[in-house]
Amino acid sequence: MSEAARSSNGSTAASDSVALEAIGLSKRYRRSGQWALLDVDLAVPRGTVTALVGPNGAGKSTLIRTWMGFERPTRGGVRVGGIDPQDDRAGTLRQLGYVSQSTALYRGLPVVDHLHLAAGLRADFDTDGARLRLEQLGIPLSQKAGSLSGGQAAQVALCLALGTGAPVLLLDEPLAALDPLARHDFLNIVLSTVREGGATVLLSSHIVSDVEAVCDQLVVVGQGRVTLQSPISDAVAGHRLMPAGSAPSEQVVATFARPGGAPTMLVRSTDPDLPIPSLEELVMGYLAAARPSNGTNTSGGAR
Amino acid sequence: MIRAAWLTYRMHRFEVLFSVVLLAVFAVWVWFISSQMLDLDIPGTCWPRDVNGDWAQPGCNDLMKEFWAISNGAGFPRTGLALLAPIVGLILGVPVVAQEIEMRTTELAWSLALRRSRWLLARLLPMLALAIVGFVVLGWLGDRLFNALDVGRQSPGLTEVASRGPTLVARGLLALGIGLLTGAIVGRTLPALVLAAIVVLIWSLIAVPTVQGQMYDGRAVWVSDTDSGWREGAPPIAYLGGGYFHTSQPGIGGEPGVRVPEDESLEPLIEAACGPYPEVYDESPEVMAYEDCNQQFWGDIQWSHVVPASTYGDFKLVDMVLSLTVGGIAILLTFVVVARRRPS
Repeated sequence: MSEAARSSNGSTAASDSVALEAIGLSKRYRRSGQWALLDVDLAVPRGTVTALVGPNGAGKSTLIRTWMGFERPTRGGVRVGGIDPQDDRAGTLRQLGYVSQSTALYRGLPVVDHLHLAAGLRADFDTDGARLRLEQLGIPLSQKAGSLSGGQAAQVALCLALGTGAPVLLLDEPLAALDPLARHDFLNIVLSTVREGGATVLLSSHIVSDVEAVCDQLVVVGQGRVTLQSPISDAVAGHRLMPAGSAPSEQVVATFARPGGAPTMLVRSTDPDLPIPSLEELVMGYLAAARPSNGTNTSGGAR
Repeated sequence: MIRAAWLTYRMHRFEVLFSVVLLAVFAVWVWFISSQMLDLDIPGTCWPRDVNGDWAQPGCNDLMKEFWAISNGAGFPRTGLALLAPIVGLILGVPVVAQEIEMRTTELAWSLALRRSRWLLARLLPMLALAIVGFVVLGWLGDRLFNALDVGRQSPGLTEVASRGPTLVARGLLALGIGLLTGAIVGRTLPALVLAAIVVLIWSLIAVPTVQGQMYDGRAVWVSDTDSGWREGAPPIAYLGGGYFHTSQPGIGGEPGVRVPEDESLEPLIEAACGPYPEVYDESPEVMAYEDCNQQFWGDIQWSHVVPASTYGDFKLVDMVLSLTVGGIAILLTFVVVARRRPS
């Protein structure tokens, strides 16, 4: 039994309110020898839409894939609704709908065959629901997946994930390759799903402006570590911007350069006289803090 | 299930079409050649040759020449039969997992499949069914071809074990299993295809001949070439000359096809040529004459190390069981690999 599973024995109540957990999770890839994740502790509450934000290579996909059971933790563990994917993969997958970064569909098969494939793999797959959703989106069921636009492919992948009826959706940068309109459509489906069924959504992205509209929770990952986990409104309200070098060091999260501006400090403060950061500035500050060259201590973050 | 099979075929339409066309073209070709030979309907009496190597019975020469002309053209199909099943096995086996990993569709499929074994079964069974049907047809055609080639002689050879009947089916399934496993481990179709082909080649050229060699050593006897080939009245000893067995009807060593120990096989030959060993003192003229005869006998006759044709079934069975076992283990291991590996 893994560490995560052992620790789950005494935390049934917690698992009722927490959809996704990572407990001391570290992942090192054997080939590269790099740590993709290092001592990650994270809890995603049920019914929330959480943005998982970080630069490329920060470890977002690794974290999501570990919840999916695609990656085996090097240390620590993860739980999905209290279940460790390494102990009970089927039990975990029953709770998860997943859209991967590549949204890889079967290029040679029509869209409708993807529904049949999903139904063949999962007895409770809602074929009619998925078909209806695709029709509403105007995606031709007879069109081959290889000839769909990036946005349509992402929407098909999302409809397949939604067709599982899983209470938790893991969306691994599905917006990265989409144009603004396609991103908007995609996020609308996510939002309506949350409104209809109260699903928990974890949306990984490095485009902050997109997640701002739909997410209520924010997790910032940088250099394999979680540097911030908080409701978005609290996170923004609890930070201020200051000119570089003008704040006590214990308040400083990081110093970063704003586009076309002077170096700016992100500080933990509720001082009403200081400017409130935008979500993008908040994220940039925490990403800057995660850089090894930045000497600012961020332990504890804003959790 | 039918829909799942149809989807699998559509996913692998190139491999499926290529294999079906290859098998069909080859099957028609083998059928045609074997039919040509069988249609000659050569009587058994035409097969024996006289001491000059000509066909002994009058009226057989033209028939036999026509037969040999056709059978000479059957060389490529004979080789092709041995190669085709493993090639098709690899083509059908390697991409089942490797292609999906390569195209990253495993990310989608494995996120939907509560049990990956179910996903693998849905992909594997249609390919396996297609392969089995194709190999069984090919094996039957192989038997037909070799029976046509050997009509009247019943001369199966070790080199053709893999080109006919159930052994061909087993060799094809072995290649499919190894291809499947290699594809699941490597996760890239082309490198896996090359690697699996090397493994199958090593199996066919080293492992099987090694096993055959050990079996052969336990069964082989020495016989004279004079008596081992097809001659009227030649001994009932199978003959492995250039890789071929020959069995004939009456002769030494007991019942036709029975395994004959070396001593028993030689003794009657020497006794027939030199008579029994004289029961007199060593330097007697009778003994000297016997020794001279014996010496001449050994000097004149070429000896062949052969195995009885009755043991041909042993070779087929062992080849088949080994191939199916290794292929089956490879398929089972693929389930373990798929259950544990990353989707990309």
